[in-house]
Amino acid sequence: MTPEEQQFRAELVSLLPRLRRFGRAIARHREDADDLVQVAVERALTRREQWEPGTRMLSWMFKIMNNAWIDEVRARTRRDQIFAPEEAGEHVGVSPMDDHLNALAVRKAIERLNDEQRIAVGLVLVEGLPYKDAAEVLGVPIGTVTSRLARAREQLQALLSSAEEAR
Amino acid sequence: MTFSDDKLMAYVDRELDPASTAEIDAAIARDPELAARVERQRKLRIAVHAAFEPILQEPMPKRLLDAASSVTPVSPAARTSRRWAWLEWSAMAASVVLGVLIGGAFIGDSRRAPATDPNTEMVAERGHMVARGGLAIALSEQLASTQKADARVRIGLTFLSKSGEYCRTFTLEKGAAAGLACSGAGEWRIPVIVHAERIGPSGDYRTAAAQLPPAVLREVDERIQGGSLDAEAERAAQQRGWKR
Repeated sequence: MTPEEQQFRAELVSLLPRLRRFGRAIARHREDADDLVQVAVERALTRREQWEPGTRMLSWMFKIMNNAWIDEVRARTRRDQIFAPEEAGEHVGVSPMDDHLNALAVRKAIERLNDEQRIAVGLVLVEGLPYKDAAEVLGVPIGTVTSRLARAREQLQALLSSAEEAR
Repeated sequence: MTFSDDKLMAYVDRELDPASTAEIDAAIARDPELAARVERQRKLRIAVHAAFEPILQEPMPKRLLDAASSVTPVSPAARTSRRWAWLEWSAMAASVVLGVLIGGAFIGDSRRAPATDPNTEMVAERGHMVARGGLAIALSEQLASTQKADARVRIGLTFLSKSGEYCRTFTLEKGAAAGLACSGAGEWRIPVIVHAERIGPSGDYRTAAAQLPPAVLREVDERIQGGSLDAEAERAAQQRGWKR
């Protein structure tokens, strides 16, 4: 292994927690999310020469994950078990930030958004990317990112307020 | 004045220019209805972020660590012939993710060991190793021509790299480890560090402190521009704070 490759791999390892978190915003199941991260990591390693040192590897990886989701992983997800039993009991409880919106309810609501909206939410709200960076990752104009985000938020507000009323 | 939902969303996401932000700040102060709309947007933003935050703390699945680092163990036979055991970069980064201290007393985790801890000579930061503590001080201040023979950190070659940085080779603890450090952005990055194997019951190191392991020499060869600095040039560079 060359020193460059070792350094590249070290940086990749340091990004894994962020990649997994973004993966969970995209994929509806934990194992699918990890599959997505794994596929993206493998692709990144075969295309190492395409990454320009000095640029943000995180954005580059998000781009690879977005593409991997669309052209490979999405098709083989575990559709039949959207809410895995081990996850149903996880993070239940009241978010310290807000009495009404707990983490599980939020994640369930996000699962009901379409792919484009979920990915926009994942990049901007979950990962905190500026609109400009999110647009670059997706290869779309900024206006497209903001309109996806706006529609996603409307829908999330509606889903979460109806869930509250149903209690 | 009315604001569109899109504009309020951009406000909450801190994407507006200062003038528009100030405008909305002022409007919120006099319009409770607007304040409530903004608050709803803000709550959603916070709730979404908080819902995913705990994922960062989950244990990393082994298959992902393996995929990214693919640490290949060195066979015992290969080790003996090389005399030096690589401390794998990738393994080092994995240990940062897992929050485990590795590599003996002189490698720490930046989140645990403050830079002032004299036992911490290096920390991993964003995938790079950076010199800290006594190593950083020695790299910045020590001159090969005047250093003591039994100094804990011994400086070897100093040279200018092809990318215009000053780089210095060093050995630690009588040859227990050897590496290369290059200055930049006010710190010393360490592209390579190699740990020696202890041999014999006395615990001596096989390679004398003055010799550099091949892995370090290879890094020097790749980077060096011209020759190494002589004592006078080394002192001049040190006095300029390792800036050209």
